[in-house]
Amino acid sequence: MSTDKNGSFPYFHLFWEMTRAQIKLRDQGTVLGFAWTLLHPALMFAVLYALFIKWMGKFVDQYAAYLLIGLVVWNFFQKGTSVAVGSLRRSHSLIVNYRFPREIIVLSNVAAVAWSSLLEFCVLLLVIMPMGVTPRWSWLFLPVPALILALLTTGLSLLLAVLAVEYLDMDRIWEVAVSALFYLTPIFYPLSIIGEDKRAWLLWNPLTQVVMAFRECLISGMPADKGVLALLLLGAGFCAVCGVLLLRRLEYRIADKVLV
Amino acid sequence: MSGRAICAEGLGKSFLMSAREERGTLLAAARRWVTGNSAHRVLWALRGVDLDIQKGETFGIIGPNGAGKSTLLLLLAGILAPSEGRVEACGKVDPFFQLAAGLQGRLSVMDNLSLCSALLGMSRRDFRAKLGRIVEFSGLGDYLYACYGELSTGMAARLPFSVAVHADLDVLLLDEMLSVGDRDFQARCFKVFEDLRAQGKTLIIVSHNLELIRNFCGRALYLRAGVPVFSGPAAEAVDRLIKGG
Repeated sequence: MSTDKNGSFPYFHLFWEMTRAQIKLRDQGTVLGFAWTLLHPALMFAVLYALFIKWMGKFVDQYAAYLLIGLVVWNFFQKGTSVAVGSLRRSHSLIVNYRFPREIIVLSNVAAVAWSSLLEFCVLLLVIMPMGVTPRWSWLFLPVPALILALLTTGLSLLLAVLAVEYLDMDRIWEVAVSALFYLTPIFYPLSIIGEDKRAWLLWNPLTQVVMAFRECLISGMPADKGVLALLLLGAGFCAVCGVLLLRRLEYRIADKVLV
Repeated sequence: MSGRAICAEGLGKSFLMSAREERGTLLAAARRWVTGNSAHRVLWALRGVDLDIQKGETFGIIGPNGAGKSTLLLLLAGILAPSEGRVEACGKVDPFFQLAAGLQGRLSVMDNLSLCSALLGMSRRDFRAKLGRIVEFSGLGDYLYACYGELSTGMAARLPFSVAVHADLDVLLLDEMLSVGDRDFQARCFKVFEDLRAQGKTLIIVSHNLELIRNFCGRALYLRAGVPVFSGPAAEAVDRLIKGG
């Protein structure tokens, strides 16, 4: 990657401006502003907690914190990929008028969601403490699952955005897939209530591992298995690199598609 | 300043156009794959273009609608890839098409100035250093914190244009951009283009304003239906277009 005269990443200014514009546009002009970002997970939490506390509370200590962590992690993945899937198609006028690395469009979409999720996460940390979760040294390991989640979401978003240029129904398909994935990830239930044969399948879901890693760091006080984390990091990094390479390879095909 | 700014040989661009009404869905793609029937036909928007434009030259591209002028600019800008032939550009090339693309009506003029500078490849430091000149040129000093969408069409067009002329581009591709703004603003634009020309910048102008091409460009390419009809002195290219030859 080349650098500019000042030695900095030449497109960082563009990435920053596009991300900033999206954050401003999303929160601007609404009475509640950033509070809207918190409203969705808060509402989801209230509904799921009210419905499942009697059942799940038997299997999970501190179910409220368990559920909140799952929802915040899930929210980032779901919002990030859903916003990014149509991002290239929505930015057709940018693509045919300016020359810049196209992955910035997708990355800025994911980054704008990441910013909200970061704020959600800060609120989460404040909220789970009165629920009995105390700060521990294992919290220092949180950047590892966070990085895995960011890479996984970014990689998948890039792949989906490319596919969505080719196939107009990709955002609908992803909407259905992501709904199914919500139930295939232990967000509001523990893995222990699932039969062993099905549990093995759910463990193959990288989001299951990421959600578990967050919970282990925050609640159990022990960082997740290092081997699993390393494998996940490698897999998520591979996914992100594949996404960037695919987008670069198909850059001109995408321009043709959005032009015609 | 001498040397080649842009060189193209046998340049051509084709697009796949829908041959029948069919949505570009995954289901439609699966059906095409199973039946082997393609719902597309190939349309050549441009073919057989040779160009050799020197640094510091002002070059015109003329022709009726659908002649392939904008496609040629997109190829020169590197936004599209040629389907045949090759094109090479030296230095920083950026097109001046719909520069307002990507700007946000709900954000302030200041935010949009910053966004536009980033889209044109300016670093933050560079933007800050040139901000005063950009604002002065645009005449938008009194509206910096107004919503961009609240500006009149002419005023709104000044913003991206003012950033673009300060973006330190080596080759400027202008697609009907000289029709921007009122008479006073246009006069300022011409002055800037004269200055850019004096600095050895290369200007490639697509326009239906034949007088502009005749007076402002040294050479011109006349395109019709995607095929070059004439390339040479601008005045002769304009005469041929008027005669329909």
